[in-house]
Amino acid sequence: MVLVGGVDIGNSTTEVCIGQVDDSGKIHFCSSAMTPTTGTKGTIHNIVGIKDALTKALEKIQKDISDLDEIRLNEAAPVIGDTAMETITETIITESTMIGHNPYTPSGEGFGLGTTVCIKDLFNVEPGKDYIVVIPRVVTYEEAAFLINEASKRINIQGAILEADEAVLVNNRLNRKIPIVDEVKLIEKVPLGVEAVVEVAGQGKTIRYLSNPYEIATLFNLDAEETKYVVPVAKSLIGNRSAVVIRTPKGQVEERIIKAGALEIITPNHQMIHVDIDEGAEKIMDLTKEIEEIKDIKGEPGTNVGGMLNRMKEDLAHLTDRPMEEICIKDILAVDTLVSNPVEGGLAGEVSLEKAVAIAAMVKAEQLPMEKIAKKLEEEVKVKVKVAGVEAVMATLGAMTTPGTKLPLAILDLGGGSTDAALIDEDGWVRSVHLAGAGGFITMLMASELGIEDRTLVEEIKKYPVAKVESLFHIRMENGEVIFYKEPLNPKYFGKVVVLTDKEMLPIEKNIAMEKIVEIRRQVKKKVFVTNAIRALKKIAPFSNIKNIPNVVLVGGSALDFEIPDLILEELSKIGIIVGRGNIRRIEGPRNAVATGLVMSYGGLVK
Amino acid sequence: MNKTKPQIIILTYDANPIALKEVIAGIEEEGVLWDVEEVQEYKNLWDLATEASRKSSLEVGIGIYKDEAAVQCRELIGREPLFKTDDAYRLMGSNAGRYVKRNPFIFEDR
Repeated sequence: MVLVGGVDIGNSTTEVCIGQVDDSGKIHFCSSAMTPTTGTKGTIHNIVGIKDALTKALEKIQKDISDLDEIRLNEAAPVIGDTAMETITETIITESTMIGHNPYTPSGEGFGLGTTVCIKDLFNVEPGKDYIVVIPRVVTYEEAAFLINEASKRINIQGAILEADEAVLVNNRLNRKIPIVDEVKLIEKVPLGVEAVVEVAGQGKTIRYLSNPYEIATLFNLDAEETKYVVPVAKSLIGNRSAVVIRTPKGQVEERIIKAGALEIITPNHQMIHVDIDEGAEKIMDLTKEIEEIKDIKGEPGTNVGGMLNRMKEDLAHLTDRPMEEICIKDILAVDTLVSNPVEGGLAGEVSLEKAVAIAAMVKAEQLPMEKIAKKLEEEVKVKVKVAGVEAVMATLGAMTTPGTKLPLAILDLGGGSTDAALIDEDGWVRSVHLAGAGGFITMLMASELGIEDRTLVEEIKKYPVAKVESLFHIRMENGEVIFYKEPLNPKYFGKVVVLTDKEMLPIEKNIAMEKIVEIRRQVKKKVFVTNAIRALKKIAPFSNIKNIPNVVLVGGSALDFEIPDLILEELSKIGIIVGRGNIRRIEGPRNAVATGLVMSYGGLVK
Repeated sequence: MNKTKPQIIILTYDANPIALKEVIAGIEEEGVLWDVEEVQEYKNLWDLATEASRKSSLEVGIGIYKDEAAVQCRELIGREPLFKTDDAYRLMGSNAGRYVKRNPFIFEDR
């Protein structure tokens, strides 16, 4: 009878499994535990975490590390995943030509066309003409209303632009209502003496005229060439409740295409395939699909992607103590995405959605220095430590303990840094693959599409459902369910969309509809894990036919996600594959597969 | 006073006229209706706000006593008022309106 500890060092967590193996080779599992990985995976800094996890698991059965006969470490896959993004368009307003934002309370309805004039100069302008009046904060709403009413006796005031949040207050005091846009922070940048249109949409509607290039052309008498220039303006105003477009001589808003750099994909027979990132994610993925095996990928120096690829190679080179030339990028996952960037030159903090390509990449080295960890650990705990087998093999072994599975069996390990897959057939042969793009990539994509910079918050939005706080005493969950509270909620949550984590309620300060957040979250998860599930299974499937894999077990941290397994099942069930979250040893869920496999392999079950 | 009209009720006692005017401006900017009533007998700030919220068919009331103003809503009666201020009157008025509209509150002058 021997006591064996299996230890799986992952990118983010270290998991252990303790088992007793009797003389006939029969295994009895005793306990398990999990702690955060200390230091980068594959370095001696991991030892602190390993000892922690082992102690935790052994405490449960009233034993300690010295009672172990053998500690078995996984031969961790020497891969590192990372992500970067290249924006490929940018909206720039070289001179202030538009205001498009959603103040809480604009006022009036419809649109007004006229020449811009500061409220102080209202009585010095040519009579009988149409004007748009510009009102800085120093003028109170009562003064503004009085001046407009007086001036209206000799000129036609068609609309107003306000710095303060007082559109309704001004309009309520006017003899004739006009469309008013307020909360324009950079009011001093509004050019005076030029033609402008103010539009405010009716309640519950969005603007109709200024988001249509032909309407802008009609209002300003633009020719075909000039109309082309206002397309970016119209585009960035879509969906707003109020807007101002100001005519400046050349319609100086441009949508600039940025040179986003290029990738060079190198194949084993030294063929080089060049692809520009601004051709889009689809083109990049189509190209990589055609390539049997990627030898290495190089990014153009001086670009975000080039920088990322180099940084990853450096990290892994340092970690494995090998020259950088030996480190290769083995896979990339490119995804088309949108980044909400502030419009350069906007007057009210406008944002515009720019096209971008996000790229996850994976570097691979020959081997991680696991033996070093084993030796150091052995010295410290005085127990025999063995590096006992490839991670993918151990994971499939562990996954086999999920009830309802049979060989051949595939696992999809949905991690934080990479998506790994392995297939074990009836004869015990294992094939495995590591692909770029996983949980961390999802967080990056969600952050950019939601326009939320706080990564911790995005991480929670990824993991937990959202709800809308409908009163001080109740919230409505994204699935329509209502939850009541006995004590009033903090007013800072009122009316907002919140994330419900296990511990607390976190407000999302950005004004995004709950439905939109749910849609983005699910879309991004699909773009990464559903795409990767299919890519990975194709690579390991017998005869490259995904249908030759009857069952797939999902393991790894992201398999715990509340919707990712469902999204993958939805897709794979279409081709008749059984897929589900693993349930290691009937009790662990998708966790602990590798650690369990390490204990199982003590008897020497696999080839 | 017509209780059935959907309006925020403001009860005042010896109120600073600027405070009242600013509170009203805040409510008005949010597009919500309001009505003011001056009480004849002394009442403290809490009681003014509480009684106002009882009288309002929107279940939101504001009390103003001298330089102090408070918003109370009926679901919070018996607890601390929703908001209290002695200088940010406009903001408090806006937030009373935003409570009615179920819009998030504003916590600082933008």
